Amino acid sequence: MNEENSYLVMENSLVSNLRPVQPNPDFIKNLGKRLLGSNNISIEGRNNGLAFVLISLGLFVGALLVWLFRKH
Amino acid sequence: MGFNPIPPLKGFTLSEQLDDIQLIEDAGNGDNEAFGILYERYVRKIYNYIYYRTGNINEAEDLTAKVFHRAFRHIESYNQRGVPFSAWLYRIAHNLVANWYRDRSRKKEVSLDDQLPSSFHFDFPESSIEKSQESEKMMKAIRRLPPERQQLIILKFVEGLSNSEIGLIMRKSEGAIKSLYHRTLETLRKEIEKIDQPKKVK
Repeated sequence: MNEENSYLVMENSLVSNLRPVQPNPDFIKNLGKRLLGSNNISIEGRNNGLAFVLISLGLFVGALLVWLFRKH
Repeated sequence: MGFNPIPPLKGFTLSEQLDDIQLIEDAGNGDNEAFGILYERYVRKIYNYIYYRTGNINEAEDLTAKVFHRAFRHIESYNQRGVPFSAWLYRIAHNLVANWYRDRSRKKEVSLDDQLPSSFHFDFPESSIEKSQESEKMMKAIRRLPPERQQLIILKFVEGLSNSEIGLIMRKSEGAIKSLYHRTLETLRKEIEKIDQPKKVK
């Protein structure tokens, strides 16, 4: 019974001490602007594809140059 | 061909989930306005969670921004089955806070325990010195708990979530949360006693 009582006191204390705080409205507004003003989500995926194509192209050109040097 | 309704996740209303699901789908298709609504809906909750975990306004703002940038970038990979959107955000926040603690311990900066009284500010209309001392003591005791237990206390008392909602965020059953909660209260009581003890010796 005593233990239950001490839990109850603790819970009441937690309720009164842990109150939600209000963030700075400017922070909320600015973060929203930054987020929604940033680029679209699908761009990351497109960049990966582009990187793959560029690397492949680089390897192909490199191999072609090596082959041409050896030939001469 | 019968209609197969989506069963609501325990602790979350069906309309809230359906609303989120549609918005997430739209946001995933590049609709920034849809993401904006989700942002408005959850940013204060995530901020509060991080603020109480770190005890610092600047860190709370910085980490809240990181949570939403990460959510924005990866919204396409979010899978609503089993985990509500809010739980997904809390998990991102939890991971970022854990990384923040790890970085801090590496840098060996001033301990959070020492920093707390000046970092936390409580706005009680009936404010009194006694009341703010009680708050500081309580926050100091919470800060001494393992991260998982701090998370539980904050989700329960600051965010006002039920055990089943907390269970979804922490990947535990409702029963496990209930049992962890009782153990947490017990530990918290002991920590408060420890804080009180040096004063009594004097």
